[in-house]
Amino acid sequence: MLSETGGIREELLKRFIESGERERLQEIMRTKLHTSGWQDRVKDKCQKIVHENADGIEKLTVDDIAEEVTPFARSSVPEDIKAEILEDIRAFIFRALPETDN
Amino acid sequence: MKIKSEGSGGSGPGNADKKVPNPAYDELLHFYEGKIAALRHARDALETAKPAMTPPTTPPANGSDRGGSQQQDNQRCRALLALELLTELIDDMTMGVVFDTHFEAKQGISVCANCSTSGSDMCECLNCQRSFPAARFASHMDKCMGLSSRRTATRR
Repeated sequence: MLSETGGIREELLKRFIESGERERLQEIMRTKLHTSGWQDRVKDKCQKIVHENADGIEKLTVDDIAEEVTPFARSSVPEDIKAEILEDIRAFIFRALPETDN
Repeated sequence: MKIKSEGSGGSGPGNADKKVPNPAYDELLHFYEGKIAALRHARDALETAKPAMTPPTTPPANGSDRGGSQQQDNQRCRALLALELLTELIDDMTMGVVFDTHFEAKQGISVCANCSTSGSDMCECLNCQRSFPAARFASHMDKCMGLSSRRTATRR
């Protein structure tokens, strides 16, 4: 029922966190990303952003850096890691919301 | 990429008979074959998910087959939700790095609690008359005066 997806969505997000599944997947992903060099790449890019804004550094906010680095960070995740974690998430969703025919 | 190998990966007809095992080559081969398998797996998973993630191009005719398109909507919502959760995880990790970098950057503009000189005020070196920001003044004097590390310090 599309009209119910608001409530179901909230419920699912809550269960994702409370069951510990989110934390479990985050730890797995953290290790994989670190091994693949992703964290170093993102750190590099962040430092480049800081140097580009060296003259206005007092006004540089966390949001400024985040806004500029997020597209790079998202696209820089290796495809196999993305697919692996995505599969685990989809499995969790299927367990939480069994397929119904209504 | 040329790898020096007498073994199975060797080039040239002369090496065809030699089967000297090359562990480095085998290890690399195994590693990259694993990578290829993982990428194939990822591609297959994404192909499976594609129909659920693409929005319908034509609207349903006149309420016919409501059950089917409802099912498709559910599938699509699930797939989009999964993608959203994944993106959240990635963004969380990104913010960790952003906070660390931001913190380090702000260290350079710290201000002394005692005498309130800013970290970016310039100080002139007594030895070489060059100017440095206060935060990096001490480490320059260290090298310039030659008191602690005497690697290339010359006496003036």
